[in-house]
Amino acid sequence: MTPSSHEPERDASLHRVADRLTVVCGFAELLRDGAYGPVNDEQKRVLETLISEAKEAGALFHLLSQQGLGRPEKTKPPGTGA
Amino acid sequence: MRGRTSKRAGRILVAEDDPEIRELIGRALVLAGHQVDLCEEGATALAKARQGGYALVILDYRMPRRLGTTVLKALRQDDPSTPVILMSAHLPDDVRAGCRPFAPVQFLAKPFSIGVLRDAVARSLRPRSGRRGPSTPSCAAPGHS
Repeated sequence: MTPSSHEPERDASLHRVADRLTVVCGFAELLRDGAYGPVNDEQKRVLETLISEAKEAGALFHLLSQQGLGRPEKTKPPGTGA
Repeated sequence: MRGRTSKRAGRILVAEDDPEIRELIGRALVLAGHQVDLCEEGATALAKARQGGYALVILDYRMPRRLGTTVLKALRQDDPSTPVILMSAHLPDDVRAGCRPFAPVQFLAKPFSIGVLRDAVARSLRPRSGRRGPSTPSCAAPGHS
């Protein structure tokens, strides 16, 4: 039960990206939901855009991750590159 | 271990080394009505969890000095039933498979949204039917909940 990646720097970068996306999306959601005080309609609209963009970036992250980003070359699924 | 149980009943323990994510999870769960204890590394998490009484333990996989999976395995030595959520951006298949004997455990893929986090917590806190179920992988991406 230890990390199986042979490329620790890439793996660490992958985790940092995921962490930062979680922070951006999560705090924007809390702001939108009034956790830090009242939010007017225009602010809410901007936050909705921010959340939507962060979620799309998160979905892309998962897609890339499933396609082999952050995995050792030898474990890449067939057909994902030389 | 049982002596402190009543003081902590229903609380959620969160172990996450990233301070922003720790604050985010703590605030999101408190706003959802939970009582939350936060810590930043695995050894502290294990010590707190072993005192007992937590309804749920949420562990980051990558923490300084002790991996979330190491904490999970150690916790199960004297606590076979407290549900655990293991968070990570990428959990290799062999790590997931290695967690199966230590159920109940859910996997929460980073990045996640608040909704996905709260759904995972709700699933973990749902009463089980009196037996240890299998590991329940849950890696819904943000926006896919």
